[in-house]
Amino acid sequence: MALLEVHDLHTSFSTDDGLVRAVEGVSFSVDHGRVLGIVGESGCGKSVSMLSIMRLLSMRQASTSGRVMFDGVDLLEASAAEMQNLRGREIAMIFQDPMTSLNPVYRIGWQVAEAARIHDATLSKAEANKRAEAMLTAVGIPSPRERLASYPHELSGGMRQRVMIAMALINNPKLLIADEPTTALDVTTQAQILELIRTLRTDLGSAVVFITHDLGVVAELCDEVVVMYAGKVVERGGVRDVFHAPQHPYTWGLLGSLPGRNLRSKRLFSIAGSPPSLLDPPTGCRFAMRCIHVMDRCRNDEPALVSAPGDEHFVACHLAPEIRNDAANQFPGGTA
Amino acid sequence: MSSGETILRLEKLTKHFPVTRGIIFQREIATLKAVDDVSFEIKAGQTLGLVGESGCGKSTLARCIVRLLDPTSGRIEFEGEDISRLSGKALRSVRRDLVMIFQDPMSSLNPRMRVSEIIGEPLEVYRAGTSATRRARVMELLELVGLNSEHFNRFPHEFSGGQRQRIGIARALALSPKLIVCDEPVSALDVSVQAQIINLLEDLQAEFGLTYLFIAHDLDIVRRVSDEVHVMYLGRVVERGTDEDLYEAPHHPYSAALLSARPVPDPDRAQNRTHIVLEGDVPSPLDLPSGCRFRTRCPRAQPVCSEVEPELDGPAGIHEWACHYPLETWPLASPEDIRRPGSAVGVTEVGP
Repeated sequence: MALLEVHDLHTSFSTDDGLVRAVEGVSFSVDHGRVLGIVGESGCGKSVSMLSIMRLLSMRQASTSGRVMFDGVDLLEASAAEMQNLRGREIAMIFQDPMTSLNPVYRIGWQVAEAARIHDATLSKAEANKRAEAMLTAVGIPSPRERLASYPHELSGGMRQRVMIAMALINNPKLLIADEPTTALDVTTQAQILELIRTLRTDLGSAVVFITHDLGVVAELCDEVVVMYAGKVVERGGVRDVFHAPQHPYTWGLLGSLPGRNLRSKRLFSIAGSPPSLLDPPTGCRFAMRCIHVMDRCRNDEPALVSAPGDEHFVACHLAPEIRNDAANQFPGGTA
Repeated sequence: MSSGETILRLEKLTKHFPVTRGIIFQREIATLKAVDDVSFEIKAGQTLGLVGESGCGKSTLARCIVRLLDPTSGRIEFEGEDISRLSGKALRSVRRDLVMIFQDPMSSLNPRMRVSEIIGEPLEVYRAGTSATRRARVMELLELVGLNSEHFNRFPHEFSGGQRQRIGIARALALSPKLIVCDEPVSALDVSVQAQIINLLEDLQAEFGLTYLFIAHDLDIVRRVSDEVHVMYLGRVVERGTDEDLYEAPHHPYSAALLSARPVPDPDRAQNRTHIVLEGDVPSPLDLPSGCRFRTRCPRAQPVCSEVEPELDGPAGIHEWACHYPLETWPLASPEDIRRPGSAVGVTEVGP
């Protein structure tokens, strides 16, 4: 059994305009030492599914259903106290913007040590500080002892993100959820952070769920990929299968719209239109109105995830497998 | 102006911001060198790409060129005329031909104005035509950027990010400019929308013979649109060349590091290639390192790098780099390769 198994997760928000179904029927799993990438455009429900798993959404507005098994515990059924105990110790999360997720009025050392002390009352202040210092060293912050006394505003964006990672990893979590941790960073800093996550995965054997909209980052880091569109999983599989033999027209669009290599003469492939409103999603396939291969059936029947060539590779599309395979072969590194 | 002629030429353009202390007697305590000694030229109908990380001075440079900022020294020649000191009427007339597209399409559109007013404003400011012809022109511009007449009376908040960027482009095109400075025009957009906007910019260039100065931090996008690429680091151009020169044979270690840091959307290549991970952060532009600005993070730095600031130079053609110990081979076989400055090249490149 995998470390984290998400089964048929649904999350909706009640708003003044009606019910927004942000996540509908999302399933995936991650095992120890593996990195799962979740990709999709803004508003496709990637972050909301993670917040649902962590139970960080306000119960007043959001309702969540499904099953989220983490190490034998159903997170959606767990009590608030149990969740409190798991969060930060067994499951840690890194957010996109390190400036808003660090407290500006506390020193770095205090904030990192707090993450350790809160889960272990017996830990003395001195020991917690020592662990904080060791953690800052592990994430590659120069002169960590001096940095413990710094405030967040005194650090650069990359340094702050490292502090967030140090804080997340201080209790050796089994699962790390990273929500666009490098989006706000420059490419050389992003490379440093990705390198760090790579070593942590190998050294600590933690599982990582990495949310991003950057397909390049997925290719660099992940073992498996989930492609989301308008609250649903449209394709799921090993990173090589998804990049070299993509099966869903939306994945084709995402890969085709990358400015990639030496295609100056050719127009970039772009997906026309924009994603549907989740207040009133279309019946049938949610990608139908932007899909160039759309058929009558797509507008009425919702496609289920069916298996595709490759190991554990699934796609939700009505197109005949032969058509999908033909299209998939046009991608670089494809079988053709 | 026919294509192939130089439309914009920068000569030793410099922008320094004074950092002051005190209220009444403001003492200058430091100088922030945002853009230092940048020279280049763009030919009509071409695209010059400018890449670099945040804080390298690319946006300041853009703002100097459209004269939203006054350069400290140097020349900006637009169609043969130095515009770096123009003001009043003369500047106004240049600004018809020299426009800008901004990064954030939300904050660059006035939320209280209708789309028709936003796009029509440049026409009104320059009193172009009658109100009827202006209206027709706005309709035409909407069509041109892929919007339609039903969007005429809407407000910016009713549009998605990509559509807002289209409105910004329509406004820039209103007076049929010659040169458009695009400052990170797609970095706030999702990938599929990025592709739409890039296709649009390319179509417009082909149709109207526009010249672009295209600024971005995404190397792949810059390569895609540009005829010539310049890499900036801390206010200086460290390497320049055609896209092939720069992407297939980078010579400056910083360009090489940028290229190797760029995520490659192909798992086989991405997970098996040589990464050059730079250490540390970009130094403060208030307190620049002596000699070469990159030496504090450069894996090839030698004593001479802290003494002599390298100038842009190259054997022939437009491919030039500012480095005492440039790379000779690319791609690198192992990460260690970047630490070995080739002795022969190193010696010949050093000099007063």
